[in-house]
Amino acid sequence: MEVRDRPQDQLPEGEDAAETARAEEEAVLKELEALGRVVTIGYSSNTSGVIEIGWGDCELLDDEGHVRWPHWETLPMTGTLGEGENGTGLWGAHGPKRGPNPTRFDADAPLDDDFGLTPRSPLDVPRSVSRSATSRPAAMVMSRCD
Amino acid sequence: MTDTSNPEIGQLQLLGIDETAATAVSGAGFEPARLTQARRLAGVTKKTVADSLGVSPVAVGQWEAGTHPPRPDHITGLAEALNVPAACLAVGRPYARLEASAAHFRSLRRTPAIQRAKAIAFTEQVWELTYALEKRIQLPAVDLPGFSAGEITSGAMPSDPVNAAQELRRRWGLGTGRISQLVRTMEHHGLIVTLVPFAGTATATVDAFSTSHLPRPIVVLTPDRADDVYRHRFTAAHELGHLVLHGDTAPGDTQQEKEADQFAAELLTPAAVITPLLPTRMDFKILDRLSQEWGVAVESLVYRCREVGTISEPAYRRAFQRLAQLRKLNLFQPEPVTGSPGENPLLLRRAFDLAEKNGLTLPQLADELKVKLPRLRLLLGVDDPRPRLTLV
Repeated sequence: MEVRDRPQDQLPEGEDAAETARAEEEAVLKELEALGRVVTIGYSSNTSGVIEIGWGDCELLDDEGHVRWPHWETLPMTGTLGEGENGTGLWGAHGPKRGPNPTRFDADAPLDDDFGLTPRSPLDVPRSVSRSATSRPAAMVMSRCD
Repeated sequence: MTDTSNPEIGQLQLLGIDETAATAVSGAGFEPARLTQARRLAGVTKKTVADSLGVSPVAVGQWEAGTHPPRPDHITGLAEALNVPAACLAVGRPYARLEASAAHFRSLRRTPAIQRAKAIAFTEQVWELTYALEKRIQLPAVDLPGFSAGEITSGAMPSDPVNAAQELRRRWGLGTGRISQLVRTMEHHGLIVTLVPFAGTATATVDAFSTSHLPRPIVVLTPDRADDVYRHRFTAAHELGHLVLHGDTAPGDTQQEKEADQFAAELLTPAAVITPLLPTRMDFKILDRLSQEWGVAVESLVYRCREVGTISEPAYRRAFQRLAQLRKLNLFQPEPVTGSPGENPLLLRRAFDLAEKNGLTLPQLADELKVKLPRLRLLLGVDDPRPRLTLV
C-alpha cells in the first residue's frame, strides 16, 4: 500500500470521520474511567473450545503486544466439563467443534472386527494346548486330575 | 465330564447346593492349588482366611500344601470367605500354573507381593477362559517370533530392542507408518490382551504386566492407564517388547525395562521415519500434531527429540517444565482409550459371542470354569445387563 505524507487539512472525508469517532470514544472512556473501572476480558482457546476466560486490569507494555495483568479474575465456565472433543475435559460447548481428524492415528482403523473366528469341531484339541502337551515349560504346570 | 446344566452359579444360591458341592470336593476331590489360586484372587493372606474360618494359619498352609485336606464344613467356609463356588476347589479342570517369576511387571518394585500374587492368579484364570473358548472357537494362531508352547526361543529375534522392533514390524507386515490399532494387531497375532479392573482399588499399584510362559502369551493392561490412549498404547508396546526380548530371562531387571521402552518407541515411531518430522526447536504445535498422527504422547516425542539429537539436554528439561505448565491450563489433556476401539481388547469377547451363537451360555461357561457370573463378566470385559437396584 502506498502511503504519502499529507497535511491534516487534506484528509479525505471518511478518514476524517474515523478520527472524529475515535476522539469521541476516547472522551467517553475518560468519563467512564472517572466513574468506574475499565476491565479487559481475556480468554485462551484452541480449536476444541475455550480453555479459560477471565477479566482484569491490563497494561500494554510495548509495541509488540506484550501485556501485564496487574489484576486477573477467572470467570466461571458454565459449560459441562467433559464436553470437549473425545471427552478431553475442555469446555468444548463454548467453542467451535472440531470434526473427525483425518490424520489422527486411528482414523483409518476398521470400526469392527470379527477376527475371522470360526467354530471349532468338538473333537479338536485347542492348538495352544496340543503344542504345550509335548513341551512343558518349567514355569507352567498343566494338571487335569480327573 | 463337566456338568454344564447348573444355571444357578453366580446367582441366588439355594440352600444346600454349595454344601453338597463341598461334600463332593472334600477328601480326594480337593485340589490344593485351587485353594491357593482362589485365595490369591481374593487378595488375602492365609492368616486372614484362617481367622474367618476359626482355624490356625498352619491348617490353611497344610490344605494348600496338600498334606491335609479340609473337612466339608471348611470347604463351605473357604468358598464363602473367598467368594467362589465350592466346586471351584475341586480337581478335574485344566490348570496352567504361572510362577510369579515368569511375569514381567511394569512396576515390579511398586507392586505389593499380595497384588502380584493376585495378578498372577488372574492371569491363570484368563488362560482358563481362553482355553474354554478355544475348545469351541478357532482363535488366531500365535504369531510371536520364537514363541512355542509357552517358551520363547532365544535367537529368533535380534537382541537389540531397536532392531527387534524393526524386525517385528517386518514380520507382522506393519510397514514403517503409524500403527492405527496396536492392541487389535496384537490380538490378530494370537496374543491375549485384557483390560479389566481385576485389582479393584489397587489397580494403580499393579500396573501392566505380561507373560510368555503360558500356552498363549498374555498381556494384562490395567485401566489406570486407560484414561490416556497414548500412554496405554506405549504400555502395550512395552509389554510386547518384553514378550519379544525377554521371554527366556528372569524379569525385574531395570535394564530390561529400558529395553522394553526403546522397543516401544521404535515400534510406534520408527526413528528413520519420525526423525525428519521432528521440530528442530521445541515447537509444541508441531509435536501436538505428530502426537495425534502417530498415537504417541507429546512427552514421548520430546524424549525422541533428545534421543535423535534435535534438541539439547537443557532444552529437553525446559520442554518438560513447559509441558507441565501447559497441562495445568488444560492443554494436551489425555484422551481416553474408549475413544479408540482398536486399543480395547476384543478377541475373547468376540470368541464368546460366536460360542454363544452356537449354544454356549454365560451360566454354562461360568459353571465349566467354576466361577461366579460377575467374575466371568469381569474376565470377558462385559457389563451386567441387569439394571442396578439402589436403595435410597
